[in-house]
Amino acid sequence: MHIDCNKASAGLHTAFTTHRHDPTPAVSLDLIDVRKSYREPNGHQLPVLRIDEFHLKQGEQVALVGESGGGKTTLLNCVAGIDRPDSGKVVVDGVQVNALGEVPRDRFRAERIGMVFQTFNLLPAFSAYENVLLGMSFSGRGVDKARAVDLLGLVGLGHRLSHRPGQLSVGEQQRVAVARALANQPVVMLADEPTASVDTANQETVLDLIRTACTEREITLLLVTHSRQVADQFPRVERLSEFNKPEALA
Amino acid sequence: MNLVQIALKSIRQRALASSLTALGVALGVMLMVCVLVVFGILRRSFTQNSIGYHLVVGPKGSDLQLVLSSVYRIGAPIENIPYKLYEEIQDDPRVAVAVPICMGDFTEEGGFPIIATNRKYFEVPYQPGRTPRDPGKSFRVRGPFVDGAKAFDAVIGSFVASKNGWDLGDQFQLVHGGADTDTSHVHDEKFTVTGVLAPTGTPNDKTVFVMLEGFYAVAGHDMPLAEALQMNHDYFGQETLEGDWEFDPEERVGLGERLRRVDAETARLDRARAEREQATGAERKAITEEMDRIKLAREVELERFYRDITAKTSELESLRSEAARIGGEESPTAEQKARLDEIDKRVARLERAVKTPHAIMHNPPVWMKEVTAVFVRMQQPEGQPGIAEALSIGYAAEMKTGLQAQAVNPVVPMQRLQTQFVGNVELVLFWMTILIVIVSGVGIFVSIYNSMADRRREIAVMRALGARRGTVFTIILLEAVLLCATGGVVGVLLGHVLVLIAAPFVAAASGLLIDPFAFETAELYVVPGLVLLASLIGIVPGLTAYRTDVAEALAE
Ligand SMILES: Nc1ncnc2c1ncn2[C@@H]1O[C@H](COP(=O)(O)OP(=O)(O)OP(=O)(O)O)[C@@H](O)[C@H]1O
Ligand SMILES: [Mg+2]
Repeated sequence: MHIDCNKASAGLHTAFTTHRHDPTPAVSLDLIDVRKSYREPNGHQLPVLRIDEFHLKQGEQVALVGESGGGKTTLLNCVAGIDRPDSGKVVVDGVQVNALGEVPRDRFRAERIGMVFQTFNLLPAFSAYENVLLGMSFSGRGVDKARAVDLLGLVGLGHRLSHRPGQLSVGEQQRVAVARALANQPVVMLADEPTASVDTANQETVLDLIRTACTEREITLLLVTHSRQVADQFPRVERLSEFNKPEALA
Repeated sequence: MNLVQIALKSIRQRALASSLTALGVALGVMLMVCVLVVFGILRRSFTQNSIGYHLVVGPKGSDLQLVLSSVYRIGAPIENIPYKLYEEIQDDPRVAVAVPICMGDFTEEGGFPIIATNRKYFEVPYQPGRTPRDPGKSFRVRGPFVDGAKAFDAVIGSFVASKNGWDLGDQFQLVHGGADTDTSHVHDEKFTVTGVLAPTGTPNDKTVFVMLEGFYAVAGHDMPLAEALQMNHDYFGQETLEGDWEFDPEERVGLGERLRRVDAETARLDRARAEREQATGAERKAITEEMDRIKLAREVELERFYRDITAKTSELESLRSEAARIGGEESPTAEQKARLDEIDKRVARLERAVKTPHAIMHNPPVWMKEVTAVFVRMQQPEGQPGIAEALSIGYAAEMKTGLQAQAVNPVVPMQRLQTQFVGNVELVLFWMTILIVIVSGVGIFVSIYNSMADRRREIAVMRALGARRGTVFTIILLEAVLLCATGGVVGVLLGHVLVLIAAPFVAAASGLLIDPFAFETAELYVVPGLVLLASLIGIVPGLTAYRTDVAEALAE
């Protein structure tokens, strides 16, 4: 059972959607002139992002690689609206995320972004099923219990619904996280080293799951990885240092 | 999944800490409920609605002592008043019901107070109605007592029955002055239980009632003649007779004859009183006036008797001391010997005269009887509310100026006790329990606040999933509210369970009878009050959640 953007979020939907149904291959993610630096504890400015242009088309799957501390997580956070660039534009699905106020930005993240983390970040007090429901409960669309069960079935955990994270294997935990990321039918999936904590056998499973789900749903996928093996499976691989020149900021 | 479910999950995640902190609140609330219930019962028992009488008449002295001893059966009574005063009250047209009681004896087993009274005691509701239509609560008696009582019949309160294991047909003796005083002794006469009261939730449950006739028949319950006369003189002789008559010591009427005259007047009075019961209107008024005349006549006789016997007794004493003086002489003169003979004859005659009344007074006459207090209900004409209260105020004022008795509205001293003492104790205890609840609230605060460090990441994850700052704030606040409210509800239940369990022990130890199902309206504020407290408690950790830097917390 699938829930469309229903009445509850209809207003938001129209507000967010401008380019989405364009006939031409829609651009799903646009970064234009994005600048971001952190204030270090000693008061110095630490430049992290300086991206003139970066685009992902709708449904595109991109592996993002780069050295540690290069700003990959920062970039994903800016896309998700968890962090805000100092300047520039972050446009996701036609909506300029960094121009939204905080509350609409939270709502936007709930309804348009799916996130998978290296350490899964499941809530320990909740069962697998409840973790997926939790992903739904912050969107304006309400929870869809049947869909939560379907999603866990999709990641092969139909028989582990009531297990809590502590009672699941590491690979299973990451699969629950994938199901949770898919819970709100996102248009963009952000995965930050989703396979790094998983053993090699499970790496494949998790990666396949993410990619198949995104392909089937035309979800744009931006996946950070340090693994050559993982990156090599992607049609497009981007090295952060090639389009991000933070030194020029200093 | 709604926010309450989410909050509940986090509470369950830290089940031990959560339940301990909630238990703290529950215990605090439990104490608070106990204080509220117990003092509620106390407070209610101090109001007019808990006492079926407008006035309690007793000797002058502390009004509180009078009411505590007669109504609540706490402490010793002040003294006694003459039975004739009870008759005066009963005969007063403003009085609807007057019930005499005698106190001072206790049961050997359990030391329950014994009240001697008459059947009217059980006809007046022990808890009057709150409205003119409401009949109030009346005594329910089980046993042959219902059909009539003999002199040595007794009715026992429900608590006495259960505590002593007494039932209909059981017999007991009275102990004078209680079991533990050195003047105490067991009276020989046996009383038989012919009635058992249904529980009333009043001190009556812990009382043994005997009939006045039986009580007076118990040896030692009649006053010594001199004392009775003195009391009668103090109460009635001086004031009612002032100026109206002269005592002529030359009158040749013996003491025995005087007493027979007094008894005759008493008999006339009783006949008139019985007649008056049936009479109405003008006839009734005429009988009342006639009764006043009879009383005056009887008073004159009694006072003459008093003066005569006092004169004779004091003469007797001085003669005896004179005889002793002469007897002490080494060698008395002939004159002195003659005087001694004369004294001996005179003493013998006086002793005979003074003994006469004793000989004819087996059953103590009215003027030798006393009562400890009289419970009074004033006339209350239908459709004129407030009349009884007005009458009782006037009556009490009258009694204050005359005689040596006082009439007290039992509510007045009890309310004074309530506002000056019990109320303050309640207030102090109440605030102490509030403090306990607040301290346990601080426990909840500490528990939640400490958990915040561990939960930074959880909160960041929820935010990453799209939860707003306000949402995570609410979740934390809800945790505090749920813990406090649960503690509160459990505490209210525990409080009542405690009252239920403790009621019989408290009743046994303090004489305070507690309705185990008593509920105080103030309890309705406990849970909302706790929700308010919890909201205050939840604000600080809630704000921590609100301010969590998502990117930073996720990177940890
Ligand atoms: N809140 C912050 N305050 C100050 N500096 C920060 C903060 N967050 C990140 N940085 C710095 O910004 C730089 C980029 O961090 P980021 O987490 O984006 O790197 P990354 O590419 O994801 O690295 P990794 O591959 O190791 O995860 C780092 O040098 C980091 O120290
Ligand atoms: Mg990173």
